[in-house]
Amino acid sequence: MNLSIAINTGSATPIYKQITDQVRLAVATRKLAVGDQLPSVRALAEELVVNPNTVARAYTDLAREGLIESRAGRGVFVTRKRKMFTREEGRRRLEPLLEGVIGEAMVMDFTQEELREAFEKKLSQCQWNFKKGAEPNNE
Amino acid sequence: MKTLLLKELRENVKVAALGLVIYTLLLLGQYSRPGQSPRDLGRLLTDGDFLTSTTWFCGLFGAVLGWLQIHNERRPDLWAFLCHRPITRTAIFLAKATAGLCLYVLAAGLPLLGYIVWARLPGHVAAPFEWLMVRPAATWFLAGSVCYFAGMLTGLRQARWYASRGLGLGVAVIVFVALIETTAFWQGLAILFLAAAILITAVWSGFGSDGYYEGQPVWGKAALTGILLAGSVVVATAAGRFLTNLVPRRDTSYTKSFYAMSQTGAVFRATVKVVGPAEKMRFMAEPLLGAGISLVTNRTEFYTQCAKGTKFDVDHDDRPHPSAWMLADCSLFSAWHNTADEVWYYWDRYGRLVGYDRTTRRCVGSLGPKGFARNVEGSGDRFNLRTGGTHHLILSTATTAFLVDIEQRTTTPIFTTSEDDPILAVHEVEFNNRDWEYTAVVTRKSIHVLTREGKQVWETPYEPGYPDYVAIDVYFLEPPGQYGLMIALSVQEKERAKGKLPVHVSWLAGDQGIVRSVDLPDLPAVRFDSGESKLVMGAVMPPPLLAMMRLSTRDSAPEEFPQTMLLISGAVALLVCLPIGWRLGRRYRFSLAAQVGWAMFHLICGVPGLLAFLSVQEWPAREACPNCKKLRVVDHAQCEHCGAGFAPPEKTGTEVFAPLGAKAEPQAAG
Amino acid sequence: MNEQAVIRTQGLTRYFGARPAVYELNLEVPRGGVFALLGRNGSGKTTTIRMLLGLLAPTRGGGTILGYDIRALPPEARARIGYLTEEHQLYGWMSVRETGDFQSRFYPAWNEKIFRGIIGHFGLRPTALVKSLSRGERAGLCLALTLAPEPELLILDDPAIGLDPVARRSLIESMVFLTRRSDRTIFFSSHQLPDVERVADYIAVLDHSVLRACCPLETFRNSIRQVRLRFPGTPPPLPKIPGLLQAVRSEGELRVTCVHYTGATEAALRGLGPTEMEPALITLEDAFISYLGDRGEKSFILSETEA
Repeated sequence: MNLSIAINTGSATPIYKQITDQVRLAVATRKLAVGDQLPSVRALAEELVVNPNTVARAYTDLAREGLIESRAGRGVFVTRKRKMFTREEGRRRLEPLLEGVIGEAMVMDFTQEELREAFEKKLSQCQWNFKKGAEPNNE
Repeated sequence: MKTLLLKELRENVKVAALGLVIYTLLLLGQYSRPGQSPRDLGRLLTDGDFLTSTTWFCGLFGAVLGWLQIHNERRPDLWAFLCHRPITRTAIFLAKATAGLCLYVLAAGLPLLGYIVWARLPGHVAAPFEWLMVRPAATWFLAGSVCYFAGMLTGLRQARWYASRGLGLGVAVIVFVALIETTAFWQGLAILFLAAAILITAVWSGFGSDGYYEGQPVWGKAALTGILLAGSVVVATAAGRFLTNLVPRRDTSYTKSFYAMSQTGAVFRATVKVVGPAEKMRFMAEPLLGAGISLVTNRTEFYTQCAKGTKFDVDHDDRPHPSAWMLADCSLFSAWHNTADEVWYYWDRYGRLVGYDRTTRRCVGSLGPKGFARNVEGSGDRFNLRTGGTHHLILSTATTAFLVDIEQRTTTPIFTTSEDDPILAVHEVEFNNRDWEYTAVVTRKSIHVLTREGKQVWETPYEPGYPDYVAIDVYFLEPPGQYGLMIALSVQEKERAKGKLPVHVSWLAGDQGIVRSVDLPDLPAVRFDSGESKLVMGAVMPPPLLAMMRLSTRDSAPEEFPQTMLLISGAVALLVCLPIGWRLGRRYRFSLAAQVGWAMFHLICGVPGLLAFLSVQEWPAREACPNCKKLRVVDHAQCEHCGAGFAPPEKTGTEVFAPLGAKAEPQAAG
Repeated sequence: MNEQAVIRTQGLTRYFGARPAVYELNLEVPRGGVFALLGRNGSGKTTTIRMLLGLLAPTRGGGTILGYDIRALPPEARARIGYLTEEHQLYGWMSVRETGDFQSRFYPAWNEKIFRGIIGHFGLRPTALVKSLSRGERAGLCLALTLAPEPELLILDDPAIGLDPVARRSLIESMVFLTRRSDRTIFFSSHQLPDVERVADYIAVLDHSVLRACCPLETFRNSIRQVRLRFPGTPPPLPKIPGLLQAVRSEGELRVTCVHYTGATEAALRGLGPTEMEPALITLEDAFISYLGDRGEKSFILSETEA
């Protein structure tokens, strides 16, 4: 389990959302593979020093998205991603993330070209489990 | 509770040790006072300074210890640490009190015990030892425990007026004053017991309510009120005395009159009027019988004209009044006579003179009617009567008067009588307060005057006699061989007879006996004219207290507490204290039972009661009712005027209330 | 009576002199979970806690704690409630171990392992005298004393006051650890919003002796919204908006913080005719500060503020 989650208090993002975001990112960046076990609610709560109910809620949200599932008696595991969102919803979720990246880069005085370069580099670096092509996923 | 007890002991042991050291140093200082050391005076346990130090130490140390035990934990969070644990407040109180009293007993008791044991062991004090001598010191020692609880109460009470926190100590003051006024040991114990019971009740109840008045059971509130009442009485008395000093007033005065005989046998009636604190005196002596004398207004001149002689009461005992048992002079034995190497005492228990060597401080023996003995009791022979006068060299049994020679350790009988005519009094006749030439002996049937060695000079029947006529004056007239005798009633009989019974005057000559006798009207007892100072005092004292004081001084000084004081006190209670108390009760919405109870209290207790009432109550705030707009107290949920409740908190539209136990719904992003 | 409520108050009121320190408090604390009582200094938090523990008598109203009347808490109630005071007051002359021994004799359910564990965690020497301990060390000792009897209900009055960050973290870790048992409840007051954010399930907010909020933590945060409106020139004056907390007007911009952002609120704001209207993200701390801070409008427009 090489899941390292760091949470900030005093952020505009609630803690449970920080957890879900980071789990999602970990899955996306292949830090977490399908079938990997996540720490139990209690263990993660004690590690992050947060209320277990917060962790429980994050896990509930992730389960509802279909990213993880709880197996009775065994723990919480990453599952095969099932499509939970419509394309529209997906785009809507992507939008602010893109804005964030672009905005940050602008503030740091990167040019559009430099940003695009960095982006491409990142894409090729990581082992993305992307669907090839532009067809919608049918699973 | 045991844990708490041990903790209390450990926490306060330093204070106790300090107290022990201080008291020990005080006692050592007393003991080795240069010059007037009590051991040399033979009065170790009844020495005035010793008792004073003991009184002050026990009182102050007790109060400080009790106060510290509470005060050290009075910070809110430390008090919470103490009280928030699974034991009752009663257990906490018991632990503290037990520990504190143990420490007090050790700190004050150990040095005292050592001191007593030292006095008891022979060879340390050249004086007799009676265990009863320990009574005064023991009483003050016990009184310290009352101060302990008073100190606790002072530390415990949450009171808005900080000064009123100290009112609890007023009980201690009253107890100490009362102890001095008591006439017997058991009375002192009873007072201490009562005061301690009330204080313990108040402190115990106060623990349950964390020092607040509200929240205590009724008996706790009553005890606390009683204590504050006592304190208020002290304050009111002090204020009263202070005020009387401010009020300009007529001076108190008293008038006294008495008969006296001149050297020629003429009888004067002298009147003395003493006015005010400056003791201005007006003196007047008018001649009644006999010729050749005129009115005398100068006191010194009068006394030069008076005949030599002596006056005494047959019942008179020059031992101190029993009510002085608490004070220095002990009535169990008295200093009798000192020689160069020895100190002699008259010891009541054995009725003998007991002597002690000054250097070894050990008993050398005793003198009784049968003579000298090596031990203290002799063979059980005892004197039962002592002379009046300053030389003290005559002691008598019922039938024989003895002349005692301390240096030779002998007793010589100088006068004997039969058993059916016992000796009632023996008194030295001293001229110029110094020269002892004659002795007067009064038996049941007759009055004798003897020379020092015992040779009879004259004798006359004792009429009117014992037990009413006990004031006897014997005069030696000029030319020698003429004598005068006056027999009058005792002070109590004089009051009872209200001046109806006369004073019997006789003249005697040599062995002829009575030459002439006459009865003179009795003179009134001392008359007091009290000034207005009494009025102010009357206003500030509670009526029952005044009534008690009036009853107790009725015999000795009836004018000290006149009827008017009682009336004024009652009037103040009825017209001032009661209305104020009633109004306040109405204003702060007391229950009916409380109103009635307090009304009776104000009626009985007057001004100090009102003070106590104001100190003890916690007055709730008052606010305008949201419904009827009148002022109402905040500690009742229903308005006393319209019955409405209180307004719920004002809503500003920014309240966020949601059911707990339901998790908030996940929000849409953004 | 709801058995699930460990603390319940009804009209709890306390006056000091003429001023109410706590006014008509109606609070219900459910069993299990972590409940945070928030409020500015002097808003009545410590007074409330003292009344709940029977250390201060209410002026009127009352309540129950674990089912017992707060005006008459018996010893068995006190055995089940742990109380950590603000000042961390202890007997200075005792040593750490002696304090533990002393306390343990009162509680039959004393767990020595927990005590030693917390002592060790804070690095306290058993022979050190309490008066020589620092604030944080004393807090650790108090925490150990409070947690060792394994109380059902833990009441902490501003437990993090004066603690360094490491000690504070240890404190929260202990609190999280305690939530292992679902029948245990923690009720604490605090100013440390990051800590509250980490551990609290529910919060209640006292504002000038009155209860203004009592809800799950997320509900509170979500109820407060900040909206940024852009205007070409000077922003127009703000209409009456229910639930308005603060409005800051500066050149070209109006930032409005309000509670219960509804459609009506949105419409009212849009009616001002802004060029842009953006809901801004807000942290818990900012939400709290706006909630309890000064209400009303502030202007930073030169032409309006210059004398």
